[in-house]
Amino acid sequence: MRTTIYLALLLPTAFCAPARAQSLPGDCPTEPSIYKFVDCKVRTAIARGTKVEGTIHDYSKQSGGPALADNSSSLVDMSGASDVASASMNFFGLTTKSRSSNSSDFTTSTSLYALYAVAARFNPLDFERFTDHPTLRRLSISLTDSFAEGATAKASDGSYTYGAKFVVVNGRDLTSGVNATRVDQIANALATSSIPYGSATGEIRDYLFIRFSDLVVDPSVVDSSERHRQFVSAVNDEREKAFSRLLTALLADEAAITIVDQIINRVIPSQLPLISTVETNVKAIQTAGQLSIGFSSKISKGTGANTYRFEAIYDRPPVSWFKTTTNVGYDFQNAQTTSSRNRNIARFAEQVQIPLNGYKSPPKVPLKLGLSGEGKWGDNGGPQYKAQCAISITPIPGFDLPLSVTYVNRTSGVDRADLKGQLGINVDFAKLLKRSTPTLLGPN
Amino acid sequence: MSVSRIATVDLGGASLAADNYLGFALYARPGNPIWNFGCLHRATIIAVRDTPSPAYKWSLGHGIPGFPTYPFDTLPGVVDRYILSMSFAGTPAYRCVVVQQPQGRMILDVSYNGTDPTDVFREVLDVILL
Repeated sequence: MRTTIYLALLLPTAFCAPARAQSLPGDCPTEPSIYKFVDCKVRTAIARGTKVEGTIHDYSKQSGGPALADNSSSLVDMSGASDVASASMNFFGLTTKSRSSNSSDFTTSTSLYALYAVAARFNPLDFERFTDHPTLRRLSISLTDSFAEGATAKASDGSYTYGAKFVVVNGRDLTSGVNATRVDQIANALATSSIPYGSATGEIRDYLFIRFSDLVVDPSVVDSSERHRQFVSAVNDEREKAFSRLLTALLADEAAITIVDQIINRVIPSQLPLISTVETNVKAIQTAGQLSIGFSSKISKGTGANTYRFEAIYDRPPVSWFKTTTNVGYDFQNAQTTSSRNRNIARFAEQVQIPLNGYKSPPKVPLKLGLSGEGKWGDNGGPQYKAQCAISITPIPGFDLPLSVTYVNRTSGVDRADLKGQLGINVDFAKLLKRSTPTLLGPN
Repeated sequence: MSVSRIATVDLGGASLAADNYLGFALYARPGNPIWNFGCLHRATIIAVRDTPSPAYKWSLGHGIPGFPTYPFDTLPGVVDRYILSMSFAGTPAYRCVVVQQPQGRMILDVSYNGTDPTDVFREVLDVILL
């Protein structure tokens, strides 16, 4: 009787759903709870009519040393930096022999926000403090100490590299004012879709209670309110096996699954705007450009030239899984001896990064491929071109192992090509401590 | 959906006597929580965006001093369905706690962890006034 009533109520509205976005009886046969079952049914139905984006990874927070450093594992600087602090190590022993600088580099970098947290004695990952100071998180500074290594190395062959970077335009921060409209759109879509969705979830739950409660609740419980509460509690919980048992029975019952699909189909029109709005806005924020300006200086410990670099850094993923970073800048090389000359150098560097895994779901150990090129043109010397191929492994969030091979057409002062391979270690303490899942929080 | 829902307590709904009320607390991880609380009759009772906070608290029925209070809008014996909708675009995790007062009886204590910024989760809680 109740089934008939449900059918009478639901059949007219079932035809409101888009023709292609329809829930089918065989969808979602193994979901562990009613929440995941309803969500899976709705998303599967909508996905039939629309394209669903994959996941993306967090790329642009630089945890390695500045590109200017002697033994840097990267040709480009990234537009972002750690929210708190990072460290990187490029050991001489993990670098192949080459005519390029043979040194071990140790870099520490920190945000102005982290320094403020130390001065004010609060936990930099404290919720309110973290979100209260987005501007302080935009400015970061770094120090690299390069120790000359090798049999003939002298301490004076090393250098110090100081860096500072400020994120000027940060389109990928959800707390940024530039994204206020997008946040509004997500919030509005959430509000307008919630009641139909929640109502349908409750309706399906009520219907399943009527049809299948004996599979979930002990028959000795006779009070209907108590039975309902026990039923709801059990089918809500994805760790229990209650919903799995019920789902097996539901899928075998053609009339029952038809009714559930009709409820799902009725709710699809109200969920389409939510899913498309969230995906559109999230994708737009994730693929927004980020512009930084940076200054770094490499000061020789001996009589080597000092180099001062001014650069603009821009990165943007044209699509969510493919990220590009561009550095455009000017280097001034200040000679320290009478036998060498100052140099004014224009510099352009480009890097693309592509994830090698995790297109469907976040990978346990992300792998990414980086391809970079750098060109430098200046007076008092020939042009220098570099190309680099790097694979980065992230065994735990915040801990990266970049393995790179770099080719250069000429090294400083020597007109001969060179090839160098190296393995580095980069640690981002904010990511390491937060162990956060991907969000649109802060500069990505 | 890649949101994991871990229930420490879930009594499957609340039945309230005349002098009872429900206290709600929603805790969020750092970021910009976007969430909405409504019922079948009021699509939006609370809507939050751009007001980051580690905890949001409110009550249904009688007031808790210092926190927003909203009345029930169904007659005794009629089930109302409350829906808490959470977007994971700006924060990766929430925890919802619902307590029946004045007994201090825990109705719901659930943690939600999202792994994708496009995730959305809707918790449905049935409430009936006796």
